[in-house]
Amino acid sequence: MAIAHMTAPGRRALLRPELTAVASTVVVFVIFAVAGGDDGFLSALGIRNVFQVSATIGIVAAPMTLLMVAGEFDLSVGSTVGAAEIVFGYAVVHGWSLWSALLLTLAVCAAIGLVNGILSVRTSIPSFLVTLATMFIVAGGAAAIANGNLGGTTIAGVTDALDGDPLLSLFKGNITDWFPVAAAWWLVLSVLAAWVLGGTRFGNWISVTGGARASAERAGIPVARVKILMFVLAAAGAGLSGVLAALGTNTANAADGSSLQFEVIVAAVIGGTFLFGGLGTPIGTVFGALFFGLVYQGFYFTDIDTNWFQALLGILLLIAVTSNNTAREFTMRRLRDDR
Amino acid sequence: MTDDQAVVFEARGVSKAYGTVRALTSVDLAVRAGQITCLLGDNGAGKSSLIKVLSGVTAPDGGTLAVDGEPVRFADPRDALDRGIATVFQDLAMVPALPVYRNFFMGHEPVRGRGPLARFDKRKARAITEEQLASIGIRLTDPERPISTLSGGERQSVAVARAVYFGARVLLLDEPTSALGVRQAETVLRYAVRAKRQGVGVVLITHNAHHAWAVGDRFVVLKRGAVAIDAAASDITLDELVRHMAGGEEVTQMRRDLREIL
Ligand SMILES: Nc1ncnc2c1ncn2[C@@H]1O[C@H](COP(=O)(O)OP(=O)(O)OP(=O)(O)O)[C@@H](O)[C@H]1O
Ligand SMILES: [Mg+2]
Repeated sequence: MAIAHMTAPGRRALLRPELTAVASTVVVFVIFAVAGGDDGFLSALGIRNVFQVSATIGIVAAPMTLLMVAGEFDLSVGSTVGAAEIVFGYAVVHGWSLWSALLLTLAVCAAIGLVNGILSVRTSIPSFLVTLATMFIVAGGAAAIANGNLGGTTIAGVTDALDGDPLLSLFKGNITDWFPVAAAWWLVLSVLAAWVLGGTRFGNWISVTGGARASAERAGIPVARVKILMFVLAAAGAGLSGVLAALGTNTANAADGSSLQFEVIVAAVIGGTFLFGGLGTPIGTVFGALFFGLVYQGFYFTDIDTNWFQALLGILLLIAVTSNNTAREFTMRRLRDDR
Repeated sequence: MTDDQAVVFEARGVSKAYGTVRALTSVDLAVRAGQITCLLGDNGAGKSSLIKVLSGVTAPDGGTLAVDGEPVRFADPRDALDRGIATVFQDLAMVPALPVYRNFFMGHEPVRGRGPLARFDKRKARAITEEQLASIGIRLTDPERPISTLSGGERQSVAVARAVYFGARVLLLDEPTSALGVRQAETVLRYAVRAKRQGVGVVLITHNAHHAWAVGDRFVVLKRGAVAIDAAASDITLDELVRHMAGGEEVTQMRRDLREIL
C-alpha cells in the first residue's frame, strides 16, 4: 500500500534488482570498517586490495551476468583463468609482445567458450553439466600441458619478460595508490555490459532468450547464436582476468581461479541476477563482486579466527541472497496488490 | 451472414496421429478475415492438436494448409508468423521480470542506429505500448512495471495486442479465457472482437459456450478428432450449440444435480 502512494521513480528504485546488493555491500563495508579500520582495512593499500580482489571476480562476473540472463551457466570460467595464465605466460616468456600474447590468450579462451556454447545449445545437456565437464578438461589439460612443456604448473617472471612493453601500464599496477588498473577494467566492462543489456536491441534479445526461449524463437531472435556469443564473452572475461592476475603477481599459475566460478556466479546472484535466466544487472553484479572483495579483505584485517572464515562467508552469502529474494518478492507482491 | 468474407487461412483434410491416438481425422477449417471462428469440443477432442498444426508447431500427417488459397507448409511457428498466422499460446511465455514494453517488442525492437548493437529506442517502445494498452483499457502507471504485475487477463490482452500490432492476419487463441475470472475473460474477448473489427481472422478455442456465443461468427465443434458441426451463428442457437458440444448434456445435468446438493 505504501508503494501505491509513491511516485513512479520511487517505485522504480524499489524495483531495481541491485538495490539489496548495494545495501549488503554497504553493511559489510561498515562492519569491517568498524572492526578492522584501525588495522589497515581503510588504508590505501587495504582499499587497493579490496578493489583488486573485486576486479578479479568482477571482470568475469560482468559477462557471466549476461550469460546467466541468457539462461545459461559457465562453471569452467575458473579453470579458464588458470589456462589463460599459462597460455599468456608461455607466450610472453617466449618473447611475444603483450598485445600478441593477449590476443592469443583471448582467442584460446574464446575457443573454450565456443565449445561450451555449441555443446550447450546443440545438445540437450544443461550448460551446468557441459561446463562442469569442460572445467575438468581445461584444468587438467592446462596443468598437463604446462607440466609437460615447463616441468611445472607455474611460469615465473611473466611481468619481467614484458619489461619496457609500452602497453604494460594498461594491465598492471595502480592508477592511484588505492585504485588498481584491474579495477578500471572491471568497472568499464561492467558499464559496457550494463549498456548492452539495458540500452540495445541485442540486450533485449539476451533477456528474452533467457526468460522465454520459445517466445524468443517464435519472435525470430537467433537464440542459439545469442547464447553461444555469451559463452564466448564469459570465457574471454576469464581470459582477461587471468592475464591481469598473472601480470599482477609476475607469475602464471595453472591453479589460479580454481574456485572462481562460484564467486563469480554468487556475485551475480547477490547483485540481483536471477538463477533461471531473464533477469540480471551488471551494475548489481559490480556490488556483488565488491561484496566479495570487502569480505575477503575484511576478514584478513580483523582478528576473526581464519578457520571460521569459510563458515562465516557462507552465512553472509545466505543472508545476502535471502534478503535479495525477499525484497524482490515483497516489491512484486505490493505492485500486484496496487492494481 | 458474413460467409462472403474472404477465406484467408484454411485447413483441408488435416489428419494427425500421436502414436495410436488419432487426434485429428480429415479436419476442414476455414478462417475468414474479420470473423471469429470458435473451436469447441470436449477435452481431448483435438482442438489443441488442430491449433498446433495451424500454428506450425507440428506438421500434419495428412491434408494441407493454405494461406489465401495457396498451399503452404510451415517448418516452425516462425514460418507461420511470417505468413501472418500468429498464435497466443496457453502458456503465453513472456518474461515475467521484464517491463511490459520489452515483452511487447521482443524481437521487433525499434532502434536508433544500425547493426547488432543498435540502440533500443525505449522511448518509442514505451509510447507505442502505452498507446496500444490504453486502447484496450489497460493503463500503466509506470512503464517500467514488470509484466508479471499485470493480471492474467491483461497479460493475455497484451499478447493479443502484440500479435495484431505486428501485423497478424490470423490470430489463434487457445483457451485464452480458461484461467480467468469473468471480468478478465471479458477483457480478452473484447480484444478479440477488436482484432476482428480490424479485419483479423480469429480462431478462438474455449470450453465456455457462453463466451463463444457472445463473440463467435462461426462455430466448429470437434468430436473425437473430426468436425461434428460447422455452422454460422445465424444457423444455430445457443441451446443447440451447447447440446452439440460433446458432454454438453451431461454438463447441464450435472449442474442441475449440483444445485440440488448445494
Ligand atoms: N503430444 C501428444 N502426444 C500424445 N498424444 C497427444 C499429444 N497431444 C495430444 N494428444 C492426444 O490427442 C488427443 C487430442 O488432444 P488435444 O490436446 O488436441 O485435445 P483438446 O481438444 O485440446 O483438449 P482440451 O480441451 O483438454 O484442451 C487426446 O487424446 C490427447 O491425449
Ligand atoms: Mg487443449
